[in-house]
Amino acid sequence: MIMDQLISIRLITAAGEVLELDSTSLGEELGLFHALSGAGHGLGVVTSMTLKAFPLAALRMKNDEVWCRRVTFPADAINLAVEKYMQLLPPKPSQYVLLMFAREHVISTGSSAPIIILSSLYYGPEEEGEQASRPLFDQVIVNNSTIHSETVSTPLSQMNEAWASFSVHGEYKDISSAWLRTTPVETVKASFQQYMQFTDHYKDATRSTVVHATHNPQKHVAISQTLEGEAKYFESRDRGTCMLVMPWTSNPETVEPMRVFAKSIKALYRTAQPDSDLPRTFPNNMQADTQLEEMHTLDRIKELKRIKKLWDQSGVFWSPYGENR
Amino acid sequence: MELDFKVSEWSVDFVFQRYVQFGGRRHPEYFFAMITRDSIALKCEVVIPHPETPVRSVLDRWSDVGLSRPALVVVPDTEQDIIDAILYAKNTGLELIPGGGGHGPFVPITDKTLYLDMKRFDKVVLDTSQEQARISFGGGALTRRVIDVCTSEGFYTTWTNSYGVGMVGSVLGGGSVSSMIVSAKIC
Repeated sequence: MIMDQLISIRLITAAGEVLELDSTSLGEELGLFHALSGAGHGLGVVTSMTLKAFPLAALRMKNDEVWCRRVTFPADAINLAVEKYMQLLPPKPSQYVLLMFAREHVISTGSSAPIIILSSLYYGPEEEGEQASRPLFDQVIVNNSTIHSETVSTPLSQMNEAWASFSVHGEYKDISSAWLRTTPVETVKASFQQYMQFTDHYKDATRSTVVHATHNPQKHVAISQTLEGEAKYFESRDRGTCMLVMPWTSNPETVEPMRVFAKSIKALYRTAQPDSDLPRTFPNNMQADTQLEEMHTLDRIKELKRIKKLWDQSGVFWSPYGENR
Repeated sequence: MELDFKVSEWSVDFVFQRYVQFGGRRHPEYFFAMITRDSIALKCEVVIPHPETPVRSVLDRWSDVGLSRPALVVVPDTEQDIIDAILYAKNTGLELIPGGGGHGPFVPITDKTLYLDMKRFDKVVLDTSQEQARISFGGGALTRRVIDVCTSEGFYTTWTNSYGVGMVGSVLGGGSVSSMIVSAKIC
């Protein structure tokens, strides 16, 4: 996560004090630095932050480009799309697999037919990317004229272009997510049915999408086993998939139904997880009614409330950890 | 809610100069106010929305979910402006919310909000002089600028998949999914 790259933070506290915090800070300041790494809303005003940076060459990507194999399936090919998604799991360490439900006009000036976009991205040498994405070159895909497949290389600096249309300001948009250990075939298919029903019914919400973003959690588990990694406020290092529901409507009356839809998809996936897995999301994807227990362990909630009270006695900064929550 | 400030004749002239200097929007809904030394001196730009002003004219955020008119918007130039704004919020019972990219729809902006728009804190600097290269950015810097500064010099760090997300907000709230792969390569 980004927080693992954090070197230092410059912050103004509720008392008007300017603090420079980093991993060499002591006592309560160190505790504050850790809280800012993942649970930092409402503890002060950050005026500056410093992260580690790395040479692009170390990624060994040809021309510093991210390699991607992308396959777009029509709705009636859902079974094949999910089969191919499963064949790509678990991803290789440098591989990122995205399974997205959308309506066609989101990617082209087409109809609003529901589609499934399966992408395998590789942050490393092209040959390794091709090897890791073998299932997406199979005849069953390539020979099917209703399925569109392409191999694209994009400079790392331009990877966000693909999301530019989602970044426009205005209208009612939200993001909620669930960290998942597993995405069973039947659950994915059932969620696609729900997605189609929701976007068929609410014509003003056809830019809504659902994204399953899957990575290999191995290295992240290793990070959590270091002192510094363990101290950061992030609980889902051992779960490989973040399932994001991103509803979008121009109609304020559809806001409540879109919230219900998002909750329903999250609940569907959560019933398919091992019983021992607590429901998890993270602060950037919280909703107004998200319980703190969904984001942090009970011990950490206690600590965050204590830290909040210590550093902002009067509660001048809005925070999810304030007394009125 | 009553705002405890005075606008003297002198202040109005001074305000108008600042208005022109900042290329202010020429809408009758706005007026810039200088809070005089009788209360707290805020030397920076302050926008107090008229009760009829549509919230979209006052705040530019990614989503309209949970958005209503704030009590006022403060645009700090310096850290002292931020300290002054914090004190002002405390004294008037407002809740201060710093805004970067405006992409957090879960942040409740209400008529008890002092919205601190961090857009002037947008400097981004890459330092490759040490063994560990580092990228520093201000509280209002957006992802796009960090991407551009890093990659133009052949470097990268972890960032979210949207150009418009504020870098600071994304770190405070747990990062993002798209940063997982790149992050794993580094460690």
